[in-house]
Amino acid sequence: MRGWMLAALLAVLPLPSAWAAAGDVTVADQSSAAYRQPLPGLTAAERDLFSQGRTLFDRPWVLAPAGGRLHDPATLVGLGPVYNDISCLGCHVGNGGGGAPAGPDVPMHGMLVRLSLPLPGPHGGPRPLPAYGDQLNDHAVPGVPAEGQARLVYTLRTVVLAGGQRVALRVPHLKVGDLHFGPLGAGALFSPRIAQPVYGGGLLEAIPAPALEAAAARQRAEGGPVRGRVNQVWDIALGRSVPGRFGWKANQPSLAQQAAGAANGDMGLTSPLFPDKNCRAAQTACQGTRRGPQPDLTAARLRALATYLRGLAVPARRGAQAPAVLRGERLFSGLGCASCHQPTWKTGDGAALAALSGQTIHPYSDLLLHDMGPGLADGRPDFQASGRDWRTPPLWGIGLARRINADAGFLHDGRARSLLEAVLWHGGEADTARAAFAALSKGDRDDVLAFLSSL
Amino acid sequence: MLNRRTVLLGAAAGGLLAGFQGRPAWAGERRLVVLTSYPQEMISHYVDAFQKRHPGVRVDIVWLSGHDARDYLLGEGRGKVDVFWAPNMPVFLDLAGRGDFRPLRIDRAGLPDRLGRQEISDPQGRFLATEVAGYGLVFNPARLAAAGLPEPANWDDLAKPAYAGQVVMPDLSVLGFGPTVIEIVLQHKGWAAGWALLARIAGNGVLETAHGDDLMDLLMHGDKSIGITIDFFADQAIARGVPLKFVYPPANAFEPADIAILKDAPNAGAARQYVSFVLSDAGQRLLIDPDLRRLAIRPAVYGSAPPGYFNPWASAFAGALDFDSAVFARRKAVDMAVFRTMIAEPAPRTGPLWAKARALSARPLPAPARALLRTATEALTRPPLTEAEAAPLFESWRWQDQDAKAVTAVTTVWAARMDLAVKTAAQALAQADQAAKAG
Repeated sequence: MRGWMLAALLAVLPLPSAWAAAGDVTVADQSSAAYRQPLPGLTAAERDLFSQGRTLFDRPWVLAPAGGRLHDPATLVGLGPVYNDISCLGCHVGNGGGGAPAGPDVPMHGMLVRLSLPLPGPHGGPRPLPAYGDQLNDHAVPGVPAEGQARLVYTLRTVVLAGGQRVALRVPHLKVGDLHFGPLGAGALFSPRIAQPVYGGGLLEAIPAPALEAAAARQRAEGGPVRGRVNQVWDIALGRSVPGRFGWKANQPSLAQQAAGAANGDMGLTSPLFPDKNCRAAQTACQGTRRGPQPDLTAARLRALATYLRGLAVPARRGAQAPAVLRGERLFSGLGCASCHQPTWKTGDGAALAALSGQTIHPYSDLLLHDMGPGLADGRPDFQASGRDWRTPPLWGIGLARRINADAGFLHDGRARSLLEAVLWHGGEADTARAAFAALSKGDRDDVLAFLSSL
Repeated sequence: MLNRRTVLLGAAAGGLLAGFQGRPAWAGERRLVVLTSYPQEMISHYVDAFQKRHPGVRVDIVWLSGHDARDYLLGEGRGKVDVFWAPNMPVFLDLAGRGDFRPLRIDRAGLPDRLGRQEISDPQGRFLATEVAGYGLVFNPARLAAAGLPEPANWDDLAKPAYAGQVVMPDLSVLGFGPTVIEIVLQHKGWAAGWALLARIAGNGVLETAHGDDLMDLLMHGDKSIGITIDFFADQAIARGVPLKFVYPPANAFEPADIAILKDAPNAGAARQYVSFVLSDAGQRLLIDPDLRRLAIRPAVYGSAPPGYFNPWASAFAGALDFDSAVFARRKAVDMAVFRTMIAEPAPRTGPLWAKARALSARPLPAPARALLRTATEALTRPPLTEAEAAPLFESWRWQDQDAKAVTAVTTVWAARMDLAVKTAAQALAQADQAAKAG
């Protein structure tokens, strides 16, 4: 985009100064605990449940003991037998996102590989692989084999931006091996995913579903390249399809199901929503491992865990009024980024926690699925999300990502080592916006990045 | 690097790019099993840093605490675990005595065996300290100042009437660090006076199981101002900017976390690499990360710590330490049972009695009322058994479950004694109240 065109466009855009203040649901903490703070306004009973949920989120889980009971009654029993990590916090470092390993010599941590057959499963979701299920568990309790190992190798692709700035982008290639239950099978689908940040989820859950549909309709009506869609996913508790809003492909309808699903897939924990251990029929050692009282994550524990996730506040912005940040914010809108990264929503009434209701929030996401082009495609459908579709990830708090976890990566597989790289991977519906960004002057691009870092 | 069951997939393009035939995948990779009771942040910092330095080793964690770790290592975990790494010296002493560790045989230069007079590593080198943790008082200075109260400095302060209602007393029979705090007070004051002080502190506040972040939340957002904590919980919060303060009472213990390699470790080579890393300069420097804020075992590490970082190796402080870990290991189980029976379980009944006793003591009392008040407080602060009575139990209870039949049979007697003591105190306070009114 030429400079005069952009200037003309910016002149008619409203000043987004209102967005700099983030309502009643942010906290000022900018430390490494910034993503771990409770929403202001929780009641005493909610705070108590929040604390219980924090313990469930933070503490490592253990295998059911040989003698049937442990000395320490606070120990959380039910791990595995196969798993990816021993606690929620293990992957969601500081409640933030995970990262991709630097190279093939380093095991994944805060990252996993989704698996499926190229056919839809029950209710239209992914169909698990017969021998491995729907994700590769690369750890197991002693005496049980892990399912296999996955590593990433990278090739580099250089992009040249206006003004000559060269940016090397990592193209990840997945290496899967040490498979204990035979080959994955021809046609198996794979998708490496880093853990997502967990703060602010209660507010996203409180956005009314009709508002999501309205956002999708508005995008369609505009007739441009951006045409977001609501994923329709299976809600286990309700027994019907509902809008999805959590997960990289918006494949989970609620925080409770998201948490219970992750607990089952990542740690092997059973719950009222996922009553079976993730041991496939061929995994005899896994099948034969003793269990504690079932489910591991009882209804009460799941409620506490969901309350914790709902009750996590969003960090306040930093330096939102700095001139470069304000310029960057205007550019962000002018380039079209805000079409998908929708800045502002209003939560509905009657949210699970009173503090979540009626809030004006600024997640910078529409929670919709968008075709992000072949560069980011994983080729693995998930309910109504195609192999090229990804949910717009919320951007709030993203400027603190590396303060929370020095190894945090960006995009679904952590390939982007910086926000600049993440922007440059955008394609598909975001191709025009990405090209316009690349055509900006170096100073303007830096302003956009300064804005993103202020979130 | 790849075998028949290894596939390379183009994540960017989606789907399978190619199947590879070649050398075995991860053939040289070794699985290292570490048994620990550390929290996740500590595990993640160390495992990530170690695996980056030793890409051929993949670490699996088995998480168990206290007795459960010991049971596992002596039972089904035998032959399955390489490294035991935990803040639990009594279990290390026990397992070393059983011959369950192999000599570490690593360079011990710069790794002290003692802190003050306190032994923290095995002189025979079967297990070595990797860090130490102290105990103290965390408080909300703004709230204390607003109430016109001075900042507390030692354990006795917590029992002072001025701090009534301000203290969060952890249930020391439940929390992992609880027994150490009990033993610090007992070794500092003696058996009878120590239990009396603990009872008075409990009587000055509420008994809580909250610790760590929950305790810090209580002090920031609740109505209490002072808590008892292990140091790093408070230091982590303070390092994040939470406006609390922490102080080490001079009577203290710096309990070590230790590390050992199991005699029947399946992967002793990788185990030695792990131990060497944890004790190396780089491994020790991880401890001063703001997210961990722990006390390194290598004194040299403190040279690169932030200003004001507490250094337990400073000679003036280390010289004041007189904690006997062997005594602690022997008495721990009995200490926990006494705390539970004497303080935790009667707390709902003793709390109101302590409040009444404080109210009475704040008034001018005639001599008979003062005598009755003394009778009441003596009843509430007298442990249900003398040290001589406790001595035979120290060895026999060492690895007993707290609810084992043998323990329950004895603690039932203690509970009956405490029941009588509570009734005595209640009666004496009622009479003292009448005497005060009459006087």
